[in-house]
Amino acid sequence: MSLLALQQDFRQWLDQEDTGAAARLGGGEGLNVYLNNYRASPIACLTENHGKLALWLGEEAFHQAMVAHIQTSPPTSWTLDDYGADFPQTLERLYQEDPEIADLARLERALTDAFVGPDHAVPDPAIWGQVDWDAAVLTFAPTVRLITLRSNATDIWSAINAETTPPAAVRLPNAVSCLVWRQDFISCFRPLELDEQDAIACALDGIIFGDLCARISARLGPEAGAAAAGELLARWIRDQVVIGTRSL
Amino acid sequence: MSALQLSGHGLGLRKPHYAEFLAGEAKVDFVEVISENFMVDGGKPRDILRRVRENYPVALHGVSMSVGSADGVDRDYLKRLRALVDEIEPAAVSDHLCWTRIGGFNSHDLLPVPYTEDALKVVCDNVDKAQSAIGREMLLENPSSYVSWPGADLTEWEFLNEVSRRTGCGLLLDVNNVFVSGSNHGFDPLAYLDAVPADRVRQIHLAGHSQGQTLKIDTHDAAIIQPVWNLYQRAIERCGPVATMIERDDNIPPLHELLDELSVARAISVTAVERRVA
Repeated sequence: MSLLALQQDFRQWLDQEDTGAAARLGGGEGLNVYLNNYRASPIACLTENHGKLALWLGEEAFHQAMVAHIQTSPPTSWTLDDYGADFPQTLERLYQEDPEIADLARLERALTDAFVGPDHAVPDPAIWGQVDWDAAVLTFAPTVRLITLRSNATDIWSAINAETTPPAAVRLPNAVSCLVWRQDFISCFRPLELDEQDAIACALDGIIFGDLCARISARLGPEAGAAAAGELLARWIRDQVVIGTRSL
Repeated sequence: MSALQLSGHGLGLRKPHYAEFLAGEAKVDFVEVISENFMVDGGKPRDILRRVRENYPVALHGVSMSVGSADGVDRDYLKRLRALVDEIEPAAVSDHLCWTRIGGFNSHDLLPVPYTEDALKVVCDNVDKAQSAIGREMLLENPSSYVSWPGADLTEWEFLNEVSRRTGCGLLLDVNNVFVSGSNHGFDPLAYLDAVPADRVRQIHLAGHSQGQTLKIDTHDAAIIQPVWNLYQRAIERCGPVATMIERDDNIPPLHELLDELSVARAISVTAVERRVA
């Protein structure tokens, strides 16, 4: 048997528990050792990344969800950090009437990604006074992501994290955006109100800040619009969501 | 390629002991880290490694290079490893004689390579590519294994010797793995140690293991047992005072317990070197 054929059979054994492949490999207890090891790695990875989801679902249901995911989505990347990116889709399929379950997975996944995302320099506060804001395009921290949620998963996550009783799950009438990023070494998230959701989406698309102010003012009026844009910008800078500006 | 300067006795950097290593309080000569845990873009893991590196020489030990894959080594993997090597300037870079990946599937386990001429060519080609990509010599570790393949052309030690001879890579001799595989496959661990090219061994691993139904399993979750200490003494007598570390990945005890175990390794090493000279 060639090396390639042997490795394809081994894959069939691990991935499909193909007894024909196992027989061609010679069988024996040793193959079961490798099968157990293969199953343990993605289980450990999902368990580590989804602690709050595990508590919400309960141990048995969470384990069944992990097993279902591994059966349909074997690891492909050299790093287990990449494993489980599509776990929310598996949970959507398993729990179609409970959107908070996939949302919790989506939120925890985004927090994990932010935790090991690219570093950035924290800007000197003095730079902000030198910016021509009418012409500036905001530069966001490289870990900034917007995720879409259809439930009150952020409230559930926060309650579990605080070791308090989580609220009942609620399906939202409209999907909302949740901002996820890393400040210093801590992954953060914040569900967004509609105004901020629109503003940050435009800013991430590269709108000039002056045009963003005009967009907000068109809705709120000149004075209130300028004040609202200023408040958003100040918060983004304080939270290290925005880390600089560039010119077009 | 740069010469390796790993020496003395070290431990693995594991989360329960981060504080002691960050404070530089652990009395070890080097620390070894799992490369993949730090081949990330940034954040806390990378920062911790940078700060530990300020206190100790670091050995990078990988589990996902997959030098035994018939479809070659992953370019993205090697690119990320090179970036980590360039930043951390490790005293050694190692991985296992195994395969983990085939055709877009990754097992995340150290799967056994058949010791055939076919596999030898593949492994040598992949090690050549890896050493070229990281710009330095790598060390290849003998694995623990639970199956053996019929029709092998070479023993494991013959296979490793040949890979080292053809590629110039060094060897990381895992004494516990020799004991485990010897028990599982019925070869004499002493014969293995006596056949390894002593001048190519750059580092030694020690660990505990567990007993399965019929097989010994390399679990790194227990103290080192006396037969493995005996093999370690023999390895040092043959290879000289090679850099040695203890792997502990599960049931991780307080650091002082591992330091006590490392003291045993130091004492055995001193005795073995004296016997070697005598």
